[in-house]
Amino acid sequence: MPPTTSRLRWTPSGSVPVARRQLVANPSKLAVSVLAVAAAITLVLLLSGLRRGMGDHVTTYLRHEPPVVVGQTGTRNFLSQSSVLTAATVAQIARVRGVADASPITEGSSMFPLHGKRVPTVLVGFDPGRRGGPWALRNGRAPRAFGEIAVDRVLAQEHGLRVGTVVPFRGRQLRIVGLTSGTSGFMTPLVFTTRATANALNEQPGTATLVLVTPASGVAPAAAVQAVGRSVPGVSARLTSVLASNDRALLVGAFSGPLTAMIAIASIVAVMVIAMSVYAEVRERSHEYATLKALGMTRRNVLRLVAVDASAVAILGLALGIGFAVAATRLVATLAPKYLIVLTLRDIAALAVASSAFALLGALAPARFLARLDPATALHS
Amino acid sequence: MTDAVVRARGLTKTFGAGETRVDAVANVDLDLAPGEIVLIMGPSGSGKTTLLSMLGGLLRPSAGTIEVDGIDIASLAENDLPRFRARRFGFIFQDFNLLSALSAEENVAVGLNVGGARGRDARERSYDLLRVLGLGKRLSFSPEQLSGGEKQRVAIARAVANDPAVVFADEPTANLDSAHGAETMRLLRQLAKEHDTTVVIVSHDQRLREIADRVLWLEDGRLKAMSALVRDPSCGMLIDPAQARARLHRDGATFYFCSRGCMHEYEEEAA
Amino acid sequence: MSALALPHSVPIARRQLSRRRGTTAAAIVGVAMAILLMLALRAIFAGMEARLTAYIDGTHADVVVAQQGVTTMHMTQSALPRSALAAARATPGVAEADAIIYRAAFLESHAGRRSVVAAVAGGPLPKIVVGRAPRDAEIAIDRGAAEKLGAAVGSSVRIFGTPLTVSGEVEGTAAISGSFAFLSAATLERILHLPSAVSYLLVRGDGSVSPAVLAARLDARIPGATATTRPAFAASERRVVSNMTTGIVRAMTLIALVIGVAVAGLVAYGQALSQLRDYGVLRALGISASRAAALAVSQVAAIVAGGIAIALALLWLMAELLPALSPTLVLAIRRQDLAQAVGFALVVALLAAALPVIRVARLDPATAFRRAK
Repeated sequence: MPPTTSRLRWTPSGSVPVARRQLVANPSKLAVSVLAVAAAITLVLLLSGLRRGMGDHVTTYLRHEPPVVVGQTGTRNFLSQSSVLTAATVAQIARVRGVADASPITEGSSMFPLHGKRVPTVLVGFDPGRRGGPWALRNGRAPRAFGEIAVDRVLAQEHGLRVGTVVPFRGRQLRIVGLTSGTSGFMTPLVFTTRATANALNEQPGTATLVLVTPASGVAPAAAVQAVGRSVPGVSARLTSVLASNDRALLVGAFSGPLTAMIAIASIVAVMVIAMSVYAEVRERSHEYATLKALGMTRRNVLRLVAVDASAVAILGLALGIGFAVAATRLVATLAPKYLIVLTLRDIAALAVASSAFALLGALAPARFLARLDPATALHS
Repeated sequence: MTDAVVRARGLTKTFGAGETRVDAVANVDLDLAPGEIVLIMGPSGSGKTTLLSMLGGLLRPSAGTIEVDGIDIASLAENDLPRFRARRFGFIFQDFNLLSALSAEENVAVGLNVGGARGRDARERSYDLLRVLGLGKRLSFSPEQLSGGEKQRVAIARAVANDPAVVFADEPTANLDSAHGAETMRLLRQLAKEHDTTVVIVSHDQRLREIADRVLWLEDGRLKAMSALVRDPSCGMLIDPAQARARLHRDGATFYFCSRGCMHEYEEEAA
Repeated sequence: MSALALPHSVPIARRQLSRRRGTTAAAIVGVAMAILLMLALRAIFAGMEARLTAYIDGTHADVVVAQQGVTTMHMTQSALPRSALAAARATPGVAEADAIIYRAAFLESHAGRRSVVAAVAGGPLPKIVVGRAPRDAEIAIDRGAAEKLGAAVGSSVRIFGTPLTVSGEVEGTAAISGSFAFLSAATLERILHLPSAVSYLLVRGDGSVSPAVLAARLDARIPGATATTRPAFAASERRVVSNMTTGIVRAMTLIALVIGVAVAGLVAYGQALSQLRDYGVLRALGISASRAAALAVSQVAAIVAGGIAIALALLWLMAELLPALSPTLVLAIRRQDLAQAVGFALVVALLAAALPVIRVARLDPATAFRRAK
């Protein structure tokens, strides 16, 4: 049976879909071009998704805590920030009118030595029974006594830690009594302990890093912020959400440079692949294009063929790239859950727009070639 | 005397400059009448294809005018030429130049699309043309699956699809065996005589002289008429007396025939 | 024997490549981009690692003493009782010991701009390039931070909410993770309500024993502490970054590989196809199938080699230009990364050449006699 071309699938305008036929005529070449574009698109999506995921991770803790946070004067972040509040100051905060609850925590970045590696974590010491502790436990319970810790379960799984494991840390033996969920991150997984333990590790007994303030009912968080700021000297009271967005900006900002560089390179790759694929196609078929010109096809319509070609590669590459990115995200979530990749429709939409720009740029060189193609060459063999 | 379809005056094409300058076509005047078959012959590299390209609006002359429908196409911008190529001219190429990604019917339809036909109209006309040419069972074959003769027939269908005033053929029989060559010749003659289409052929193939109304010789860029040709009284074909297949002397005159068949036909009629 | 190896023979592969200059150039750039993707990220992270230890390396300490089990500075806390300093000084083989307090903090300028710093008090200062060392209520900051904040010697910045005057600027401690800022011990202790603990001890030996031995001695003598030689400490810091970023680098390399093979393969296959007739002619002239295949391979190899060259050139360019755009974006090009890039390129070349080689090797010499399309 000879290869048939369907009579039914002509273009809506009723003319022969020349560009479509030409694309399909060499499926392996099309596949390779589409694959390369898809790889570039996947890269861009995964990188921007990782950046967004990192931002989500670093703000996990604060999203589960009361709406107001008080720290030493100048405190604007939860991470990367040292702050020391004396016991007296903590008591003062609790007494401010409009404050229903003031839970002190001692927190800071800590490197846990596990399997010969130093694993970055955020160690949070809270008072048992008060706010600031873990909100979801997979196994075991929250720490109560001195020297007890609850560890993020993804971290625990990665390093073979279990409830009951004892981890030597900064001169003390800390015993795991629980595994928490929703607390992972590749830079900031959470480890919970009692505030007394954290203070002892820092050799700063009786202090707190931050105080988590729950406003009294009927009191807006902003009002509580004002009240504390007015009444207590030497502290900065802020909305928790403000700290969270500062943390996100800090971390994401740090990685912005490298990420942007990678995204720029990937974009160049996408444009080039489209350009190369279409240009190669056009040159190979230059005889046919000359024939079309000789038959009387206007320059505009000839260029339209190129536009279809470039768009097809771009669109197929985009679709496949999105598919790969989604699959990769799921894969990463299963195999390496400490990396969080968040793909949003906004990012995908932005990339779709970018892809049309890629297609346009990619079509430039071939279009130029075709515009100058002499129809008389159809007569030469 | 009917108006010429194409009127060329002082047509010149120069390549190169200075010492390497060569006139592929030098100051050619040519009128093409409707329904006429003009054969242009000449040594290889004599500029025949260049002349054909210019007449068909594919190549811009260095000097001269080419009048079609009262417009000098030699002075038109490239953007204005496609409509002539689509509606007034048809091309048959030596290598057939079918689009390899399209089926036979689509190759013809594409020519129709370019001429403005769409959808069903284009499709039906494409079927009709190909069926008439005996390719009704090959409509969805791709060019790779077609023989040389079949490809030429598709090319011919494409060339005539938009009812052009002139069909330009570049070595139409060069890549065909004798049977298909003869077939092509018959089709071209039919085109000219039954549809009043002018056919301009560029070729080395002597056989084509049998269907030509005029045979021109292009050498060193200059055009000359071939020595006198005579007409077969039966079928009207022009033949070179030196190469006639059949001859009859009667009433002191000599009649030349393209074949014995025509001669017998003539004899019967005369009887 | 490669067709290119014979002296005075026509460089067929080179001619074939230069006939399609546009496509060849595009392929080279495409492969270069893929290699660049793989190299640039590594270089950026390596740059981060290198800058991370600028301060500690600059102290020229032989041993770093930290709280038990702690061998890093960034992203961690360490606390030692003050008595540790006396114990260190009393250890035989120790010439000098300094206690430093180390805290993560933010510098704020009046304009509201902020910069992450590691606030350090005590210990030797890096070279002050402008101004002088900080006294009470003063601070010395990194030049990079000064630029970012729009601050200069004499202007006021806030740290922990406390205003301090900039007394001087240092250089070279700025990295993606922030820079270093130096205060007097009295100032920092006051700000932190810190009665008794210090963070690290920086110890210099008198030369009588090796640093490793010195570290072991300090480790034994100071309870609740870990002593590490400075090079080992710095290496430990760098390992943290590389551990964190390994997964990302690997994923990036994989994607870059797909891109590289696709680009090189696309062009190689296209070129082989368009030159099939030429290959047919060569075969008809008597070149063996394996030699023809070698020609195809050498074309791919040339493209990939060009790709490496361009990638390296671009990487070098990035290393020069990027810091001008963002002072903390420093690239460090390491030998092992370059070696890996070459290996990567080889894999790309091999995979990309596979299809064309098969096509060319199977070629029927009779194609020489077929008409050109």
